[in-house]
Amino acid sequence: MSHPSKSAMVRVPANMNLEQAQHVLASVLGKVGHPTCYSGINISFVNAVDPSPMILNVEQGSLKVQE
Amino acid sequence: MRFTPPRLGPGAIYLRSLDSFFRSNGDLIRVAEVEPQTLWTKATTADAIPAGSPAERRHLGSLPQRVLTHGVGYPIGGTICDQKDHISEFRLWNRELSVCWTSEHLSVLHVRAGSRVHSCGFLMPPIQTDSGVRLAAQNIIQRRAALDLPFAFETGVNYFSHRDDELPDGEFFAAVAEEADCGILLDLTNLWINQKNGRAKISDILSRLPLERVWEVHLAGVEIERGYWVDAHSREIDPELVAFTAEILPSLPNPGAIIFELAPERVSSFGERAYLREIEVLNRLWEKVPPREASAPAAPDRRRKSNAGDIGPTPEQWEEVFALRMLPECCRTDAAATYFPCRSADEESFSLYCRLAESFRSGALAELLGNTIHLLLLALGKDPLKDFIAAYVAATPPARFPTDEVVQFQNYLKQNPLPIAGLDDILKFEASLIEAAANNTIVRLTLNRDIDRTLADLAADRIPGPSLDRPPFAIEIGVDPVPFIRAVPEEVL
Repeated sequence: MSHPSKSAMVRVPANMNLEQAQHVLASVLGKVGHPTCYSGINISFVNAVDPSPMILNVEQGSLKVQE
Repeated sequence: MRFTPPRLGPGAIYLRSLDSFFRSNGDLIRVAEVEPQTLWTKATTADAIPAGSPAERRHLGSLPQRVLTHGVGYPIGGTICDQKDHISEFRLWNRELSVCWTSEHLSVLHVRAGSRVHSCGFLMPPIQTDSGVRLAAQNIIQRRAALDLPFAFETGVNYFSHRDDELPDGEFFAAVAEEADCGILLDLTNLWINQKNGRAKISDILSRLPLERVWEVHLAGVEIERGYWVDAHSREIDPELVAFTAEILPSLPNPGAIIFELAPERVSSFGERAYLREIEVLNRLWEKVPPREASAPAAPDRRRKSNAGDIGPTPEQWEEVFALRMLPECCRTDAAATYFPCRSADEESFSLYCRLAESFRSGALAELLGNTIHLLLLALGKDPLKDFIAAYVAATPPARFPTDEVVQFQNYLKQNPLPIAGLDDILKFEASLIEAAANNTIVRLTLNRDIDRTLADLAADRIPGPSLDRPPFAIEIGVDPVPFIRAVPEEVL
């Protein structure tokens, strides 16, 4: 699946490397708009803090949740 | 008004990250539903009006799909309903993308607290009384006139249980549609969730809807949060919902599009193959849409004849409750809500709404200030970081656009400094990226650390050490005509 492909140009003196910084700039450019319209949980912070997936066990026929 | 939507077919919500995917699958994805506000940028000044870029509009104009627009951020269910600030930009997008109808949420987002207006941070349900019907219908009529385009409202999710003093969901949706003489965006996922959470049976709702007004159907994947099914746009459409949709579609005389929704932060984990499977599901569902009759029978006049049953809170009172329960203490007025209908089930619902709103705010920070958050995580640890973010959310109002959330968080950190080496520089750097992108300007900043090695350390899960300190140096960040970061020569400093 492709991702935003905005090109980035970096002009720096030879003694200074800003490659990582340029990657960060490119990554935020597509994210400054209004959030989309869903009514669930945004997992970006959860992923940032604890990337391990949460395992949920749902009892069939009920809404009882056990983490 | 009797608008009959053209039969556009199956499609999906457009995301920038899916652009090339849309372009290479024009045969399967026949509609690109654009949410313009997600592609707009709001400058960091408080009163700035968000806008998109002409280049992106032109880019979207070259998609192989027909384009529909779906508004976010300006819902039509509350007493605060913008009919001015965002309209000219929205009209421009509709015109340039040759949109034949548009839609928005039948929800409440902004509420009054004293003399100020604040975002709740989450789309809240409108009050389902006759006065709520009249309010929504007036808002829709004004919005449609302002946009000069056929308009449909989305049937929303509602995490509250049904109240005795409100109209049943189907009756409410039908009354709004008839009163405003508009279309319905039938979000079957939302209604299915409402049913699974025990609020209302989907069959009851559909039995009361003027089905000839359904112009569009939305479908998405759901998940569980805190014991509630939520509209997370997180995965494939549940097979049970697919089967139900297949039963419903033949009874809809005028659907113009059926749209799959996936949240942007779920795209990478969902994957291309899974996405294609969902699009194929939509194509099979579209085959269930009945052929359009040459002369469709006249729709019965279901206009409500009286205001009987207009009990319960007024829209203003309903929004007072939201102001009291959804806004942080700093934004509330001393006056308690005059109508405070909280049952024990409502407490659980408000707890969920607050949790979801907080997830959007913390998610915006993680997306735009990823390295700052990562440094805080490494330096503080997981639980203290969660506590810090929770304290921030509790002390500041939600922002509509993430750029405002970044500015607000930066100010909060200035007022609540943390003794973490390198935090000032990494926050200053990331906030400057946002400022350059949001304001389309060149931002110059002075740093005291090697920013690239700092970022490399963070990428390797290392707290950047003091060896990265260096004499102050300046860089410039800009985005026009292409994104750039450059060092400023010393003689210019």
